Formats: sequence, structure tokens, C-alpha cells
Amino acid sequence: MTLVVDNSKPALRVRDLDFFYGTQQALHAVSADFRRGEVTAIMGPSGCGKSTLLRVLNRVYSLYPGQRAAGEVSLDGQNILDPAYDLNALRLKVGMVFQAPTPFVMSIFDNLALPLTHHEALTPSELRDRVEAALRRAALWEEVKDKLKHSALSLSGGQQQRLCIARAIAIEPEVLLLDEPTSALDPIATTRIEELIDELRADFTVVMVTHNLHQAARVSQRTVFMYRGEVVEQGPTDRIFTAPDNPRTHDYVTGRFG
Amino acid sequence: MNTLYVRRQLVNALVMTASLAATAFGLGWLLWIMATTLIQGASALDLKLFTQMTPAPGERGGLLNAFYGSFVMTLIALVIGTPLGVLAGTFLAEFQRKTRMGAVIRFTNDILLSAPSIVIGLFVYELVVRQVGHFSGWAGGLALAIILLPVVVRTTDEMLQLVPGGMREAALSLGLPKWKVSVKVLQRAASTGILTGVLLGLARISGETAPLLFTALNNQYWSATPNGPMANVPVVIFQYAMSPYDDWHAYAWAGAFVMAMFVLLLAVLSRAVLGRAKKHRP
Ligand SMILES: Nc1ncnc2c1ncn2[C@@H]1O[C@H](COP(=O)(O)OP(=O)(O)OP(=O)(O)O)[C@@H](O)[C@H]1O
Ligand SMILES: [Mg+2]
Repeated sequence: MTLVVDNSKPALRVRDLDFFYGTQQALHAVSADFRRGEVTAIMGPSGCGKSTLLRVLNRVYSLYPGQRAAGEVSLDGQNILDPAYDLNALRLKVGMVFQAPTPFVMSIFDNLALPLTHHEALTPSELRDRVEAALRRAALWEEVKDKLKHSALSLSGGQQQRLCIARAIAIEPEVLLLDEPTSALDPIATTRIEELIDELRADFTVVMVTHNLHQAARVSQRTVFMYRGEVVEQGPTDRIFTAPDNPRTHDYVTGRFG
Repeated sequence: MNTLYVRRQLVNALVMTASLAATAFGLGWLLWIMATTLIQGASALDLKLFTQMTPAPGERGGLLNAFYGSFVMTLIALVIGTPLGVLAGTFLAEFQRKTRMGAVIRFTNDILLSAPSIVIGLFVYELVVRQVGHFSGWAGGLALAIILLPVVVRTTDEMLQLVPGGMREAALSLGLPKWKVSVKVLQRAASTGILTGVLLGLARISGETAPLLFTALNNQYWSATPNGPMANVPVVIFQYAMSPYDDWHAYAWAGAFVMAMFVLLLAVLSRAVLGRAKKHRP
């Protein structure tokens, strides 16, 4: 896949976003840009609203009647918060991988085949190729190629997480949201996933929540720093880590956050 | 310190003894029932029980037509009750989780769940038997289906609500429509729980007598189709046990023993299914 990477125009633009869990406001006038060809890390102390922001970007929150968002999130120039925006089309474009692995109770193959066959008309051999390609990209193929018919639950936690990443990228979204994708993984699996994210950057807009400063420094090009539901600072990761403008950001990246 | 320890030991021993006694009390009845039915029905418990028709007084025979009738009517109940119940339970769990309508449906379903089965028998009698003009296996199967339905609705609802929310969110995040998420992902994740519910419901309806008295009635002879009155184990047991003939009593006991064993097996099976499913959880 060749892509003309245009870094100047953000793929996903968030403007003045407020978010409410019932009456409790979790995001306050959040504005941020996520660019194609880049990994953007979202950082900040626990409870600052990182997951909440991700959950707005593919509107998975709308599963819950009490939750609501106001403001603007534009994807390819269209506001996805518009009630008329087709949710299934949105989620085909904006994939998400959750903190805890979420394998479906079916075979490894079917975990990928289910979304693939839903979105595309594929012949059996095309389907096999697509499943293999996605598993290869997620660095899982070698481990599962002989047991594609086995239950996905028989995989280890790290393998399950890579399966979920493979499932999310199989349908080729434009944006990939990752909520602490490595928090439950050992260092080896973490390294693999970090390498994977770095590769994915070429084709996707990647937004990743992480608590791990080193991880953010290693894999991201831009960083959004949040505090208590607000974006405090955002910019190139290098600068955020070496010369942050905001004292809070400075405290956080130097590990002095109380 | 030491006295506290002794006290705990003592309380522990007391509670253990009480729990054991309670368990023994409960299991005792079960054993007693199984033993009585086995001993009393021993003279009728042989292979002929499963190969011959219900006998006239003083003759030898079996309960084949009753077993077959029960089997057919239970099958009708399963075929009607399971899909309807799973669909309704899915509707409740996935589309009406916290709504007023969901609450009303759950309440209604719970009433149906605890409705006396004789009421359901009378209802089907009015609805089908009186309209058609005669008793039939269809009417019996329908009555059993109405008893099975709320059990399946409830377990499906509960089991789907137990599926971790993350799985639902992940499936929706792949752009799958809600119905597909429910059917392909969530029902599959809850399938063993739902199956357990169906098995328990099956155990419940296989012993029902009252609704069949008003719907399928009974039949001394073989009837291959459910188009007319149909023999069934519970009603045969009732009729034979009430009769003045000793040999009929033996058949009633034997029928009761087979039923009890069947229900026991179903219960054990559903436990086993659930136990195996738990082991496979991540
Ligand atoms: N389902 C919910 N209902 C009500 N409030 C919620 C809900 N989920 C999160 N919140 C609140 O919203 C705020 C932001 O939560 P969020 O999960 O986005 O934090 P986070 O930055 O992802 O934290 P962490 O790093 O611990 O994952 C918190 O104050 C939290 O209490
Ligand atoms: Mg979070």
C-alpha cells in the first residue's frame, strides 16, 4: 500500500470537546490534532481522561445512554459527533484496541474472519490471505499458523493482545486507537508491539494512551499531555520531553508528579 | 489470643457439623425417593419397559408409548421455546438493559416463570383443545413450551449480561452492527450458560403433569404423530398410581424412577457443561 503522507493536515481534529458521564464532566474543552503517518501518545496521570478521549474518537461511548459528548471531532472534514454520522462506517475507519485483551469466543481464524467477511466480499482464499497478512503484521503468524482453528482463548495474554491488534488492522482502518496496549504484557511482547506500532505508523494514524514515559519517547512522534480532563500541552514528543512549556508537564516527564 | 483461637475452632466445628447435617438432610430425601421408586418399581423395571405399550390391568407391558409421547412433546416445547426464549433474552440484555420497557418485560417474564403450571394447562386447553375439539400432543407441547420459555428468557438475559462489556465494545469497534455483535459474538460467548438454562428448563418440563392433563391427556395405545391424544410419562404415572391394581402401581413406580433418573442426569449434565465452560474462561 502506498500512501501520500501529508503531515500538514491532521487526519483527526478535536475541537472544544466536552464529555459527560451523566452529570460528571470528564473532558473540558479538549482540542488536539492527530496526524497521519505519526504516532501520537496521550499521557497524563490516572483519571485525567485519556481513555475517555479515545472512547469519543470512535464513539464507542454511545453504547451507554448516560454518556454524551459536545464539541467537534472531524475525520476527513466531517464531524463524527453529528448524530447522523453512521456509527458502523465510523468504526470501520477508526479501529480500537483495548487495555485488556478482548478475544471473541471462537477460533483464532474466525476472530479475524468475522469482521473481514462482514465488511468485504472475499473468496475463501482471499480471506485466508488477508487473515495471514494481518497476523503477520501483528507478529503473531509464526506462533499460530498451525493452530488457526484453535480457540482464541487458548492463547496467552500477550498473544491475545496481538490477536486483537491483528483483528483491528485486518479491516484496514484509517485511524488506530490503542489504550495502554502493552500494560499487561511482558517486556518481550511489549517490544514486539512497539515495533509493530512503529511499522503501522506508515499506513495509519495511530493514537496511543500510555503510562510508560519511555514507551512514549520510543514510539511516538507527538505527545498530548492531559491533566484533569484538559489538554495541558501538546507538541513533538522530543520537545515535550526535553523542553516542556508547562510546569505540570515538566514534573510529569521528569517523574516528579505527586 | 489462645482462647480466641479455641473459640474459633469450636465455632468452626459447630458450623461444619450443622452444614453437613443440612446437606445430609437434603440428600437423604433424594436417596430415599430414588430407593423407594427403585424398590417399588423393580418388578416392572426391565427391557420390556422401553419396548412395549402400556398394559391393561393384569397384563405385562411397558411404557414405550408414554416415553415416546413425552419425548415428542418435549421436543415440540424445545423447538418452540428455545429460539423464542433466546431471542427475547437477547432483546432484553442487549437492547433493553436499563430501560423501563425492559423492566416491565422482565417482571412479566418472572410472573410467567412462577405461574402455576395448571393455569398454563387450562390456558392452552381454552386456546387450542377447545378450538380444535380434541386433545393432542401439539397442545401438550405448546403448554410445555410456555413453561420452558420464561426459563430460557431469563437465563439468556442473565448470561448475556455477564459477558464482559469489553467484548461488546471491541466487537462494536470493528464496525459490526449491533445484531451481528449480539448473535455472532455475545451469544457465542454466553452459549454454555444459555445451554445450561435450556437443560434446566428441560428438566423442569419433563416432570410436568398438570398442563398435560388438560392438553395431551393420555393414550393407552401407540400414536406416532402428535395429532391426537398422546401418552406421556407423568400422566401415566398419575393414572396408574391412582388405580387399584398392584401391577399398575409397579409401572407407575418404574416410570417415576426413570423420570427421576433422567432429571438427575440432566441436572448433572448441565453442571458439567457449566463447569467445563468455567475452566475455559480466560
Ligand atoms: N463509566 C464511567 N462513569 C462515570 N465516570 C467515569 C466512567 N469512566 C471514567 N469516569 C471518570 O472519568 C474520568 C476520566 O476517566 P478515564 O478512564 O478517561 O481516565 P484515564 O486517564 O484513562 O485513567 P487511567 O490512566 O487510570 O486509565 C475519571 O475521573 C473517572 O472517574
Ligand atoms: Mg484509561
